[in-house]
Amino acid sequence: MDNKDLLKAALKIGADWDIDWHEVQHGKQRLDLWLVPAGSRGWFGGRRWKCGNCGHNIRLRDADRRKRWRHLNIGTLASYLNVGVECEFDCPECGSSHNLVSWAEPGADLTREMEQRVANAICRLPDISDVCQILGVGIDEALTVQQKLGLKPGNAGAEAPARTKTPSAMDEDASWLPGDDHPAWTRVIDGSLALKTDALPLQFMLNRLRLQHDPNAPPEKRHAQARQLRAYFTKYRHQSTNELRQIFG
Amino acid sequence: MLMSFEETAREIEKGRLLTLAGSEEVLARLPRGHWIGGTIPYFMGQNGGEESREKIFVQSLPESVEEAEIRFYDAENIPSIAEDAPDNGFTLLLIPATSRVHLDYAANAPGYEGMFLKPIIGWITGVHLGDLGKVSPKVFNGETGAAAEDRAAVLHARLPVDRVASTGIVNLFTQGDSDAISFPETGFSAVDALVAGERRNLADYIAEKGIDTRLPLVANYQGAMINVSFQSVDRATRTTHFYAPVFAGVEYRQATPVADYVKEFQSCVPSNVEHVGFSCNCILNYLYSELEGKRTANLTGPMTFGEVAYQLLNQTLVYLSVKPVKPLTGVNGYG
Repeated sequence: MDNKDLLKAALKIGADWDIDWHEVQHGKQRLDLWLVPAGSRGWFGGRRWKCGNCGHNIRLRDADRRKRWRHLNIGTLASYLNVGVECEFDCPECGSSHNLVSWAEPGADLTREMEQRVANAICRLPDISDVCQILGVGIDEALTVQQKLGLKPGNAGAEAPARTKTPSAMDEDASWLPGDDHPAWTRVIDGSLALKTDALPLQFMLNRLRLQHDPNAPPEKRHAQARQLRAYFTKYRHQSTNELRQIFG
Repeated sequence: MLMSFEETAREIEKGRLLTLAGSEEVLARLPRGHWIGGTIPYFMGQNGGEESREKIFVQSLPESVEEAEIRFYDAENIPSIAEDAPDNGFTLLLIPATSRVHLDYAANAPGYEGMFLKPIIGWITGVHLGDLGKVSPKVFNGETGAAAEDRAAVLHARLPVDRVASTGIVNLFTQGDSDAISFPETGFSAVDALVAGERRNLADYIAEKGIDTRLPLVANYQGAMINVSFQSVDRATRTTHFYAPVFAGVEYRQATPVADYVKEFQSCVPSNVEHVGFSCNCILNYLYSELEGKRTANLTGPMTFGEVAYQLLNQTLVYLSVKPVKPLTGVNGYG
């Protein structure tokens, strides 16, 4: 594993991006990484990216302004992701829309991973200035995350176990989802909780479960139905944030 | 997009993973490669609706596919299709119309183990309408060159962990305010039905009300409008036949008419449809809405004898998207 691969692994940078070059500023305790889409070839300074829809090689335009996101800390260094090409564009051949950046929400200064860490720290620490000091983020950035996610500092004590998990652990397992015997699953299945969703497989599954539902069935049968629903949310938890909020608040 | 035989052969020879639609004659002559194909001569091409026995509709599956397996399934092992699918990926399913595997999948797919946990999309292969009853619809395994009329061709595709596939539909039909209709049994045909709570012969009811059978029956599956299209009404046997099964216990209503399919289609395509790797639409939309020469946005593909988005659908466009995974952003794991 070379240095770039090591950095990618340490900073959880996906396979669809490569590190073009990096710079460490020890005085500022800062690591800047310049990223390029994986496999994009340079042609006289330009880069091309293959449309996943039609295969057309799209020429990536240089960004008018370099884009930069505050990312995770590595050792004593605060890392920043920099991208020099336009990441949102339409394929000129098939018209499909693309956004190459999946690590941050539009307009965000922090990556999702960093937002997650800031959010966890806000929940655990009594004062938001402690969050800023420990993670090395600005007060404005921390307040933005606090406001965006509606967090209250230092109230994690009696929260769901998920609040104490690290983001990577949450990505890897879904043990934070309530078990099959949680009554909310039954409320979804029997229709007493009117779940709004536009996820087609969930709509199909709910239709089937509701047709099969028998309120007088023994608990094992009800749990078996809940298990199917939980299996769906375990698999599609990344795409089901709205639905999970409706079910568990 | 619609291509000539030579263009398609070149795409195959590049080693691309393809799904193809065309007449049996052209598909049978194609070189072996990483493709599955099904027979149909009707398409929504890049220039609009088109009928052709010479051209082939070529859809290149996303390059993010890490591994793909192509195989046939018969009526015996089709129930394991979802279990066999990769944990992260999608399954493309092509079934010859009127085959046993078609009937079994249509009636029983919602109950297959693991169904709705892995994206399954596809279509029912057909023939030129002038050849109905003369030749049988086929599917092809491009890797072996084998064709089948009694088995489904399936492509299981595995995706990397940072990609996720999803299946969507575009259905212009919604439930009208006509009588609610439900059925005592699941099946492709029905004699009696419960109409507005009263047991009636459905064929008699259709005649009495002068119902336009080009408009499907529509069920509301928790917000998803799911059609079942009328195939025929046999007045002699007083039996109504459908292109997909009606399901016992599900409440249907006849669809509200669609005034201008092309115009309404544009407004029905969700704005977030992107990274489309496959799509197809229904031959009945092609015929009833007279789509020959007309374009329906950028969602193109074969016009089929039935569509599959997990289960069999009618008069519906289905599409597959493969997108980057959106990481979890919240503090409690889901928000």
